[in-house]
Amino acid sequence: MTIDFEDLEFPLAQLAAASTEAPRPEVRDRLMARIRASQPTLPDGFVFNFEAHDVWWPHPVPGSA
Amino acid sequence: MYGLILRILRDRSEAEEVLQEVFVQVWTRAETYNAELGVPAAWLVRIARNRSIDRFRANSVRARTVEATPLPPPVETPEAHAAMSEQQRTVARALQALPPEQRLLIEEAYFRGLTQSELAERFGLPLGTVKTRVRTGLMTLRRELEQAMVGVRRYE
Repeated sequence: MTIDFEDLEFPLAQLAAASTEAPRPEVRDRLMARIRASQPTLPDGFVFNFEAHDVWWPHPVPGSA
Repeated sequence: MYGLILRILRDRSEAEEVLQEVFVQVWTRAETYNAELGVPAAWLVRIARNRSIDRFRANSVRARTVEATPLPPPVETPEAHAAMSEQQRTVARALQALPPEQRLLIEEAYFRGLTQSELAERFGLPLGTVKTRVRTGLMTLRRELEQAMVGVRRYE
């Protein structure tokens, strides 16, 4: 039987994330290439535009703080 | 998220690959997010953890290695400690406060995805003992975190 960590899943992940380095910069380029190649189905009237800037701005994920 | 994936896989290249897979999945399957099941951050963590454990288990060489190699302890250098947020320190303290026999099982279950039966087999324990230790450990951890969070809110 697998163990369901429920509300503890996120705090334990935070702990693991505290002590390691960041992914290498080229990972971003590879990720963006995959993102561009796998467009999600968009609702009518929506379109995505990709910015060309080289900097990734921190963006808080709801629930992460 | 990368830190969690790396902790599970212990291989930088594989962790970077899984990290990309997680974001692509989030990008292409965003409609599977269910707000009733938790905040977006928890959803991301669940995807990252499940994918990492799946990758770890799928790698037979690594799977054989894990039988003989216990999880490394969390990195606790002064630099890493200083980089922790207060919330992370709270979790670290709560985890460290657990009896070692409970903490070990919880860490193996969380970072290796081991089931209770697998834990029992791996550590040569009766299944009932594993269930009791895990349940008690999780209850203690939950209680400690709740108390710590109440304490934080009191000073906010």
